[in-house]
Amino acid sequence: MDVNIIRHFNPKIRSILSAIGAENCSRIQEIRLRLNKPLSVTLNDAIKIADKNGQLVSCSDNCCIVTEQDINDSFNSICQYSVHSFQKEITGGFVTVQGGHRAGICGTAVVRNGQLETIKHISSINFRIARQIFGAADEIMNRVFSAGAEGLLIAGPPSSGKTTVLRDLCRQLGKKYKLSLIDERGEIAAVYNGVSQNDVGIYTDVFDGYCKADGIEAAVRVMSPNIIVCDEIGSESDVSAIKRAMNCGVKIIATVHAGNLEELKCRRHIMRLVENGAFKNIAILSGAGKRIQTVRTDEFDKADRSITDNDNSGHNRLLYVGRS
Amino acid sequence: MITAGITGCYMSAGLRKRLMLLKAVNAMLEEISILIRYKAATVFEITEAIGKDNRFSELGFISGIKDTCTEPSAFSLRWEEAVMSYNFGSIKPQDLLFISSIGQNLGSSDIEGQLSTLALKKEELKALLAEAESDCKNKSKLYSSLGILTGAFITVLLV
Repeated sequence: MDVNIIRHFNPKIRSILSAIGAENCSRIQEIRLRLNKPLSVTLNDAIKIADKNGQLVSCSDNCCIVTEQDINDSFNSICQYSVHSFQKEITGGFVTVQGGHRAGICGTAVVRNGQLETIKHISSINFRIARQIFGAADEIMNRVFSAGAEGLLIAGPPSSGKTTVLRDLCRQLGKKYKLSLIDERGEIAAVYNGVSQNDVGIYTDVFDGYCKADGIEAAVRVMSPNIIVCDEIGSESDVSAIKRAMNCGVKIIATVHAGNLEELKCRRHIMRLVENGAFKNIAILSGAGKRIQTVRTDEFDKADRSITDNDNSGHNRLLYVGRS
Repeated sequence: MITAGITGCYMSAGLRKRLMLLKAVNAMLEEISILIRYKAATVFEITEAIGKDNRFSELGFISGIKDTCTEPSAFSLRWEEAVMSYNFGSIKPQDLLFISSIGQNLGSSDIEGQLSTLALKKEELKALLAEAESDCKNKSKLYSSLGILTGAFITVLLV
């Protein structure tokens, strides 16, 4: 198991995880500590309990029960024994550790003036194991960027692979263009101590933790990017910042939550950007990234009919509607 | 006579060394406050920065506190172990306890809490510093003089 994950567990948990076979280790997606409950892992989307011998089973009398000390040891290690350095991450619900892995934290909220200030009595820690998928954006690269840099909006429901595709887009485009990546939640580059844990391209400047509006303004002002990349746009301030960047000639690549074109059209702020020409292309992901549909925004009306026809085909394929 | 004189001077130097040590601790508390306030530095970034800074050469124990890939153990324990195993030379028990206590709360609260705790530590240190300065001023020359006089007296007796 990756040393960057295992170092955040105390010897008791570590010995169990170390006993898990190599084949299973490579398929582990998550490791969860829940107070007074069995240590569990997610393996190929299936939840398994780790018993004291490192066997992954559905239920067991010999399972390892996670204690408060186990959780505290892991929490302290994740925060490098420096809670003050990770205040923002703790209130955001996760800390990125070396290797790009993310430790999600939940517990009892401490609220002051209506805002979440910190978390106490941590009851669960979820280690999500990061695995960058090289080639996730190949189809989009071929369809959208073969003739040069263009604006692109990637839409999809949760867990459809938007961030995975965006990360690979950064990696590929970041070999040819000056990219500014506004990584507000630290999910794309997974910066740890100033170093990107994921490959996001050699010409990519990462604005880690910046809110999108501030990051976009700063990027345009000081980094002279060809392309700005950001994840999950939606607010009025995001839209205003993107408009200003667009007016400076910068191409924008962004993601947005929307299950299909109809849902996307209900997002008025986003549609204003589309109408103003910020995004020449829209890619819609569905089914954990297995189906990608791209649409040129000047072919919106035709796109509705064509996508409806192809939704019933049942094939995993890329549909390109409009001018090629 | 020479031996007694040297002993007197050694005790006098011990007082000065204690004062320098406590001044270095004071400067260290200030530096830690700055690192936390402006960089939200982690405890290991703090120990690394201070360990490399020549201003804190008297506090060599800090270089031994590193973030290693071994089992998790509380930072406060690592700090205490490093302090207790380091040879400070002339140091009073209360000074050792004070330096050891600095690591107790480092990293255990938010930035405001950390800065408040450090401010409290600086206040506590003031009393130790005042005592050290007073000792240095009043006793330093006394020890040197006593050492020489004692040596002379013993010499006269023997002769």
